[in-house]
Amino acid sequence: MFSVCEISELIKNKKISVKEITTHYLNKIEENKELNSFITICHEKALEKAQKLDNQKEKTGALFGIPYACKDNICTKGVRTTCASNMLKDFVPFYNAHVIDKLSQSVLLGKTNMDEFGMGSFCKNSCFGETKNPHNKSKTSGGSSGGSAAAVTSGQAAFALGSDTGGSVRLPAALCGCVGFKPSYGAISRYGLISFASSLDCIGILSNNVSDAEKVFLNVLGKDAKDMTSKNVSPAKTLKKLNIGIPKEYLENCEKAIEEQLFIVAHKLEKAGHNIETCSLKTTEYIVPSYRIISSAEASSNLARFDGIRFGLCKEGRTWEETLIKTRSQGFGTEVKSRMLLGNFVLKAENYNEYYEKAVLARNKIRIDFKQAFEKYDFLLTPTTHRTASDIEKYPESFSEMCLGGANLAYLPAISLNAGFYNQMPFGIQLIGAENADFDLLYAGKQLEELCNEL
Amino acid sequence: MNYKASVGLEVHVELLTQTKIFCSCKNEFGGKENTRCCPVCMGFPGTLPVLNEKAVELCVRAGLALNCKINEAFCMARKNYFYPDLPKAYQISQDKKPVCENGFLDTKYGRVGILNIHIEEDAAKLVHKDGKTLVDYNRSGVPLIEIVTAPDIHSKEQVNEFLQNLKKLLKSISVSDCNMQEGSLRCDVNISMQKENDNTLGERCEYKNINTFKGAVNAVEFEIKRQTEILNFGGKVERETRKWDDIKKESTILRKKENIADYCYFEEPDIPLIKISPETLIKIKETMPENSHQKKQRYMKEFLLSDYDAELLSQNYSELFEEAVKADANAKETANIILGNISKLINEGKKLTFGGDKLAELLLLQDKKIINKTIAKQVLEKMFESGESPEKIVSENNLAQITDTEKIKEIVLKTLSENQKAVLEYKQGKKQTFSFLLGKALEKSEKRANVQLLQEILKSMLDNKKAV
Repeated sequence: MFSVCEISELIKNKKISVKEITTHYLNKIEENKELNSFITICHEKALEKAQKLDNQKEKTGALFGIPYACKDNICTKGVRTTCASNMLKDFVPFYNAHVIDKLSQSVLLGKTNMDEFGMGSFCKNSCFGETKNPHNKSKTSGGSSGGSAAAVTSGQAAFALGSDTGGSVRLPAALCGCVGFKPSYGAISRYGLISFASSLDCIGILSNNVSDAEKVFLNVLGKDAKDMTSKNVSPAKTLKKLNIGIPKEYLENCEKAIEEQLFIVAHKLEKAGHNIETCSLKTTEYIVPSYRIISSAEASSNLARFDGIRFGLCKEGRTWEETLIKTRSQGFGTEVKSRMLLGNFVLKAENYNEYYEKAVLARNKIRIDFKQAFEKYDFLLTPTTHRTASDIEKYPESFSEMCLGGANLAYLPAISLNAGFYNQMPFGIQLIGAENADFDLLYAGKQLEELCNEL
Repeated sequence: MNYKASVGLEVHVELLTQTKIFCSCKNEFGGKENTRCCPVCMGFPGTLPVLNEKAVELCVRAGLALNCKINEAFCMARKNYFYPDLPKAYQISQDKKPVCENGFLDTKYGRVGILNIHIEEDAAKLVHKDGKTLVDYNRSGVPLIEIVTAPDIHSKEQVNEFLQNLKKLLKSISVSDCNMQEGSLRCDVNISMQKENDNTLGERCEYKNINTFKGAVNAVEFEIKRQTEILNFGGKVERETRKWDDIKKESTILRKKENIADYCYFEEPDIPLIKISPETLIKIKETMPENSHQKKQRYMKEFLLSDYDAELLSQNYSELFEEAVKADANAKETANIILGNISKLINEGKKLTFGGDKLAELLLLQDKKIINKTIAKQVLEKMFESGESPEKIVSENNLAQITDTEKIKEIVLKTLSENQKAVLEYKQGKKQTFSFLLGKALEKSEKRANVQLLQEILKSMLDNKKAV
């Protein structure tokens, strides 16, 4: 398993060419076909790009020549972008997402599998089949960025891009055993990310260590004129002694082994001189309902543009309405339809006050709750999930969303990293930071990672 | 039973920005289909809107000119519905926090309240061809303001005046060219009837997308009649959306109450709350052109022009007028010549090829009596043709006024000798022949004789005439 740093060194010291490292990864992709991590593999384009980079005179930048994978809901010019949906099965964008432009010195290996339009926690809602967990092929990789997590963990890419709307980067990262970083909302431009829930969507990074995630983040972050919600995050503060809170609500119903490990890590943090204690986030019970309502409402609006006229699937009827109905009935999977119906329902005039408005009010309360916590603590430490991939699917999806949705609702950065194995399956612990404190979070993540590696 | 009509309008006005509201495509009219569009205004997946600041500025201008309160912060909202001309299947508009609120526009029939003015994007255009319907995205994303009035309009005449006043106002502050033929001004009309002394509004009917003033007036007239008839027969007016046919002069039902759309409005998450700082507001106030109403008031006060003259000048000739006055021309004389001979020539199709400075020159020549009024008219016509300066025209064509009394005496003598019969008639007491003789003398002078002198000399010669 190569880290981004290692590859970078090898390339800079001319020990390996970009073409060679790219070929290495393409072979790895071939070897791991069974996992079904990729929807589209850019065999030729990747090698062409690698050659071009090798021929370049200037070879600067931390990500120069690094081969990466990209979730299939991020627009890549000239490369099919499907959102794992029949609706976009043959859609080839003629424009790049901002984040892809920022990675112009790296090599795109291919587009990874996901839950359709980002809706799902187990990577099972894809029209291209499910992605398997590299640690146990009969288990889920988690979702919705399942393909990206599986690819990174099994060495098919040096790093991968994903998207996180309610935990979709952190959840699969935890179940597959890699690092999953969700920055503050707006820290990475959403231009070119096919929207699921606009006020919750974040582009996230999956990698094998926190340092790699930081390197990628540095390369793609920043205010983008094409995205009004994008912004610059704060520079790093010098942190010596960390104040960490463990919200007790996040421990309810957690697998014993995961909870125990969390406290072992907490103990180590204490020994290393940091301050750590349990705390309470009373609004935790509103996270899942608020998330469900807001994300469904926004999704029902964002996905309305798929009508068969300009792009994507078109199933013609005798009238425009018929075309619309046929196209959308056949183009969307069941989960997507279900969420759009819910979204539509909560936005209807007679339901608005009862559902959507309440969800927005709840969101605000959740945001304030976190803000108050961050007046006392630098970070919050929680399990990423309550179960491993072994049995997580036995529980309803909301069970998985509980620890994750808060960071999306409150626009906060959060990172999941591997904390150990239970019955041979990995699990993760999560650090949540204050809004815009992304670099502080990454710093703390590195400390935590060191401690976890000692276990 | 007497019924009173209450009419409210929702006027959609396209803004005079260089580019569209959320992308950098050019904001223009006409041209080949689908040549001014991009992934953003075509709603391609992954694209995001970026709000055009100029559109906001023009909306604020409209708000200021219509006496509205400008909100310190406003947000955009999604109006969701499916239609082939709406690429995202939602229109980005405003709902709860518009840019401007609570203003008014006066008409001679009374004040009309403006509930709000909000910014939104225009939809694409549907083109029906060979039994098919095609979509032209050139218009998709063009910035609009929607001006929503209170139901304070009570007659078709007032509808017309409101729209005329609104158009003049918005044109004068360069918010829109209000060109209805090009679709840059359209309106929806809401009409309800209530009993004469009743304050509660009756059920309203809505007419959508009327694109001529005449159409709006005719629709209102028709609807008032239709609703009055229903009420007089003891029936109930139902809430409906109707379509106006200005050729047949009738309306048909588009949608009944049950099918009135629920647009599922919610705050646009892709556009953050926009704040208008006090400094920005001041800057907009200071840099906005004087609106036509303000101009008219100023002309009346500063130049002591009549209401009528000030109205006409401020609407159509403000630039020419102000330039001339700046070049020291007399305001009243300038107004007269513009509203007289100049507007006459323009109405005949002539193009204005000179500026106020040349007009001022012409008036000065007239004042100095270098040319008389008749010659001035000729010079003016030549100015229209060539755009040349009046001084040049006068000297090149030898049009300067004759003020030399000796010369005038010569002309008069010649005239009298050539028109002996008329002279005789005058002497016999027919005083009218004086004008005839004056006319002849003027002609003899090629119209260049100073009329006053000519009159004096002619009279004295006729009255004191000794046999010549």
